[in-house]
Amino acid sequence: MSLGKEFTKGIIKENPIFIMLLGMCPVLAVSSSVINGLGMGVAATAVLVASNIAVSALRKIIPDSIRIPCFIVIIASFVTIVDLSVKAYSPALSQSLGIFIPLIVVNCIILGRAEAFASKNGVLGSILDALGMGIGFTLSLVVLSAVREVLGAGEFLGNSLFGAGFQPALIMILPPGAFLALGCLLGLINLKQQKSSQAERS
Amino acid sequence: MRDIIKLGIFLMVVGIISGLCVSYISGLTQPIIEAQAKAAEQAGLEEVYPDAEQMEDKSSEYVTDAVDPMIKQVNVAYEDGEEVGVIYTVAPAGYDGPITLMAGFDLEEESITNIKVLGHSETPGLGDACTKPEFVEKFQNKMIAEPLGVVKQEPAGEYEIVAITASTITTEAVVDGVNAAREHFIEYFVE
Repeated sequence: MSLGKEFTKGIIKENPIFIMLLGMCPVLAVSSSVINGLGMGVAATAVLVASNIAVSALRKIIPDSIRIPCFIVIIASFVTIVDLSVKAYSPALSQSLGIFIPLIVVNCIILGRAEAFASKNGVLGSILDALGMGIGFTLSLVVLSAVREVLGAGEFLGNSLFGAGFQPALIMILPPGAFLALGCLLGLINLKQQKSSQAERS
Repeated sequence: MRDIIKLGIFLMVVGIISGLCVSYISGLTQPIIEAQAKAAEQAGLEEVYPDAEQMEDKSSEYVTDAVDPMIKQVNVAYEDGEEVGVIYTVAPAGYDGPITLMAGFDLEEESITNIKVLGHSETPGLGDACTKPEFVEKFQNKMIAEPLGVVKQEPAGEYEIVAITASTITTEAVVDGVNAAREHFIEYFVE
């Protein structure tokens, strides 16, 4: 596979949220506003790139039988570093993301890419893979949280869209709204994929 | 056996290296995080009681076992060396966990100067309106002769606060916190 493909596959073809359905727990929880989704996406991308680099650089040294604990230690260290940096340089973001930054440790996208890609490929490919996956994750989070914020609060990035008379559908920013929005988006994407694969066949 | 020891040592080395990295970063960021927390607190104090020349944390003196456990911190504002106001940090129980807020009281006017919600975990879109200026304004310049109450609809009396739509519990929590501070203020400062 060429390097360009390593980068782009995470954005559409193997999109971690909409196609692979990985890391659903933080996705459902933080997508109540666009700024939270964006922050979570960027933080997860930072961890993903760093851990992919480390795992791929060490892939020949790490003994096969204990690779998973090694990956977890590496990932946990990077998450702690990101957590501390966000706390120090962006306290507002750290307040709204709260528990979810430490939870990146168990985000299956990170461990999944370490195991499925970085432990078998070179550093450059791993960086591109991580960037692609990270951007795919961030974009999907932004789309999902934009749907929820616009419908549920009548706002986009905190700016009111419809004026005072608009009655927002509050359920969309409450936890059930995450499932509703995700389900509808997944349905749309599947529909589109079916159509394009039918078009290919005929 | 030798294999297990080898693997164990390898894992230990990985752990040690990661630990060193994390502790290095922690050493770098710790002072910044503490400075941030301090600056946020100072900004809160100034917002709640704007005209103080000097503020002093008197929590060790006033937050004793005898006072309401909601009261977490007592800061006294001075002007020309005289006590002019008190800023309380209280943490009443909201709908979904404690709401931390500051409430400022003026000694001369015997009124509430302002309140500020520092942290909460209320429902987004409903209870989180307690941080908005429209809600906070309702507390400004309220007199302290009587404890505050909550009403669901306008009109509100002199000692009443109109609840946030569909968030009466949040409103009551904020009012409870302010009332606890008010009682302490009357007992220790006014009289």
